[in-house]
Amino acid sequence: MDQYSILGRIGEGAHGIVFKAKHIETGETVALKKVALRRLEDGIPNQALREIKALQEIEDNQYVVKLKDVFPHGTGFVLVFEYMLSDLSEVIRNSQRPLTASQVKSYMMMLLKGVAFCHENSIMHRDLKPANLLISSTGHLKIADFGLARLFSNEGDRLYSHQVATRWYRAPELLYGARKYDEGVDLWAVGCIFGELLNNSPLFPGENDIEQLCCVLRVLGTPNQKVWPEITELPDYNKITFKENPPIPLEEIVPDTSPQAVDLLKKFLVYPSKQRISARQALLHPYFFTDPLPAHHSELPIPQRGGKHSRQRMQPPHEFTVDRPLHESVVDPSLIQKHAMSCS
Amino acid sequence: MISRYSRRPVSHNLEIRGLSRSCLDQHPLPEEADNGTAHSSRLLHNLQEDMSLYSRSEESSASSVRSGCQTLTTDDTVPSWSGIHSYTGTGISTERSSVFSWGYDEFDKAASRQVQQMFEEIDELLYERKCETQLKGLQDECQEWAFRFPHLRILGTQVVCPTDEGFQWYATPAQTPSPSSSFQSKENTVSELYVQGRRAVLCRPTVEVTNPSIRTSGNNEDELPSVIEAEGLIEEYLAYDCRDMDEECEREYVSRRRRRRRCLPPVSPYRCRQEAVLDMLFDDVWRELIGWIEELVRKHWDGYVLDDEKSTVALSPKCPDPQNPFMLPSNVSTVLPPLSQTRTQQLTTNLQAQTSRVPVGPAVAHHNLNDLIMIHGIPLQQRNLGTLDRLNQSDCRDSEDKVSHRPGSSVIPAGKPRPRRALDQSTSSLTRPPQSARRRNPPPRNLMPITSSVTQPITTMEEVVRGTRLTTPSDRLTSPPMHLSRNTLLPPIGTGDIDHVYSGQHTRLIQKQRGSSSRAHSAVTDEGISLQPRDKLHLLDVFSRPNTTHTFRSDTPYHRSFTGIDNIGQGRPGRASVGVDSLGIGVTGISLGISSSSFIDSFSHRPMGHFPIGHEEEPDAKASGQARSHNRGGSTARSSRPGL
Repeated sequence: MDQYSILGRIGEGAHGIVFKAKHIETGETVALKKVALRRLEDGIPNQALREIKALQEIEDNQYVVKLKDVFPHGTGFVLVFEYMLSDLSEVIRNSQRPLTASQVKSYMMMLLKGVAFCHENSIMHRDLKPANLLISSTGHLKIADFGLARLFSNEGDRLYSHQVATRWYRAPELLYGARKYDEGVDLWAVGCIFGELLNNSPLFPGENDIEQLCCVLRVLGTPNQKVWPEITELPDYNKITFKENPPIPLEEIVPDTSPQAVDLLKKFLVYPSKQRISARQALLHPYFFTDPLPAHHSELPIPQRGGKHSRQRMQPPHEFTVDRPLHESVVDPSLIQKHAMSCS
Repeated sequence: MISRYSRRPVSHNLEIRGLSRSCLDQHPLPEEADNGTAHSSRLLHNLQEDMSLYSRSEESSASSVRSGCQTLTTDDTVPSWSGIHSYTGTGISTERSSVFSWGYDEFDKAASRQVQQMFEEIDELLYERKCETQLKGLQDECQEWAFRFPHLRILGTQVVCPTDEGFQWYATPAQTPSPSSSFQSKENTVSELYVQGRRAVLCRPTVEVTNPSIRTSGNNEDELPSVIEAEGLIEEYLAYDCRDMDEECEREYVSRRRRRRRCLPPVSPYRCRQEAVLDMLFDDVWRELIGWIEELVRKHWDGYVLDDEKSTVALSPKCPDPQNPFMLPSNVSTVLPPLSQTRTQQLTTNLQAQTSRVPVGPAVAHHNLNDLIMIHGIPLQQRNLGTLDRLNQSDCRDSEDKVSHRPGSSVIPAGKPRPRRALDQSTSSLTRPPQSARRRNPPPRNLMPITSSVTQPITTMEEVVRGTRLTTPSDRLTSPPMHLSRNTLLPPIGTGDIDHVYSGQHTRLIQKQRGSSSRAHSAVTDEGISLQPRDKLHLLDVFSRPNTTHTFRSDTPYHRSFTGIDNIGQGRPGRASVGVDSLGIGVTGISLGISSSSFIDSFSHRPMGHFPIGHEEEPDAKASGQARSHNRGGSTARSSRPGL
């Protein structure tokens, strides 16, 4: 702990307080997430172990936040992460103008790359949501908060907790109380995030679990055995019934969106988990290869953490830095046009 | 967990001690329980030595428990001890502790030790599959992870403390406490070999490698010390060749000195060898280079002296045509390649000639500029006559150069309507008195553009001339802007002419330079343009002031198929003033008539010379975002285009 000097508090999550700190030796800015253990006698909870292990095992992916160190501190331990400027929820909330199609594409691409990597390593995140997708100072998106992550295996009938994921992004099978599920829950969440990026507002903003289910059913239509054979096996299927309701075409839910985008969204938001397009496949969807192409990360907004307005990379044009391409720092000819005319 | 970075407020010692003791009073037991009694004596010992920086929290806390008075005495000698306490949420570091609500007292230390122990048990579970621990809940989870991902680690204790100049090694206590109490903080990883990963590439030498690992994994405390004595010094070096870094360095290897600054001296044998080779190579090359330069310099000075004495007339026969093309490349690439003595002499003599002629030239030249037709006729005719041998041409050029130059100084009487001109005049008229001094330098500069391939050598001379010119104070004072513009403009034009021999690359350069100069002094730029490659062309351009460089730009699209003359016609429609138009046309006609017969060869050059410009400029303008590096020129050009 003493290797770090605390610079301030970033936020307080469900799993602990997060501080911004500086590693004294290297001068590197990091985020310290302090996880307290409620009772030492109980040892380290599974959840904590999962988070640490998941991050350790997938640390070499560009789209997953990097765990730099773990050390015990007091009645708990501290996770040291690379410092991230903001998260996607703030980007959505704070960007003055809606994200452009190519920016959305870029975010989706990074998100899917990260998710694909996790899934290839048999790790399901189980809590994907914009607030857990951090944005680096370079505009990169990285998946964070693996507090609910766990390994999944395709064979065997392992039971999982259904009380995972933030409500708005919770897959319908979870809402129906499924204890057996797979990485499809992440893909549902990806679909929700996608819709949120396109609409600039959450796709299924349910106030409670029941309402959440209503939201989903209203859009996708009431599920039946034909579209979702497994539904009858879900624990809560018989506990609640909804009146028959036809699906609303997604084009109406996300208006002003390219057909490819709608098509991809459709492939995420399907009832049967197995039918959801995998992250790897989704990356090959024509959506990512049609105009406008995904934006370069330098074209993505970077809101300041907690800032009211996003900084749209409007630095003074005459500021020269080594890292930036030259054309960015050269004076825009149109700016000096007036003056040039008066001279000529 | 104890920092060496924490502040060390010596004055607070007493408070701290009091507090810490009170803390200890509250929680004495856990610490007692945690520490094996075996540690106690060692800990005290350590405390008196340099333990503080490296001590584990458990040790320090233990010592404080055991010896209240001991801490009193050692306090001063062990500053970090007090530092530790200053950090422990007492009143001293208030800002910190307020932000940082988790104070770190003895109780926390104990707790964190416990957590650490749990971590270690988990690690054992993961890596060694030892599951005698009490973490029942985690066993399944660990098994899953271990099953899914390969876990590999090598544990050991560093045998010998590395010594290195400039670095101090803080020794840890000789006997490492039982692994359960060790922390994974930075300090410890330094002293303990701890390799962890999930991939291992198996290869032959592993047989040797595994032996030590087996030995160390046993971690027998008794064995290790004896090994130290038996083996004497073992140096552990982690050196690696970073290829990428090397490449970078190479790229930046402009001069040795710079490199030295950038990189630390190499450690690995590979780098050492490389460095040695490079050093030798550099020495060789440098020696050679010195030899050349010496010769070059001597020749140059000889030539210079000789030229001073020589008369101007001798010039022409010395410049053989066929050689010139060969000369071009060498000149362009660098100034360095040794010039034959004769040539340098020629150059200097050329210069000389110009300077000597100066007094004569002005009158004629002035006239030329002032009323267009007359002016043109005279120099061009001269040329025609002289065209038979290019040497003469060069001579003519000299005179022409003067012509082109003169406009600045002599225009006053004529009083041409062009407003820009007027500006020029004003500046140049000022310069008149020191003209002689000025003239010495300008001519060569003018020569450059005019001479396509023939007079190339002059470019090199130019450098020299420029150098000398700077020294003349009058120059500076009179009209710096003019000089600037010329300076910058000329070389590019020269290269532009060369361009047809080469590739279009250079034109970009021209563009850039031209642009920059035009930006700096918009009025003056006209002059620069007037210096454009050829006589007629540049003369015409002189009249088409408003367009400056940009006339070319606008022309360029059409330009390619036409000769230089034609393109001027093309540019015209865009221009505002009719007067200029007619003037320009008239001129073109004349120049055509005059030059067509004799200058066919030169024409053949010209369109080509422009080609690259056209090529380069357009993309420049279009994709300004792409290649903004060139854009200074481009952007100004664009911005002033409305003026057209």
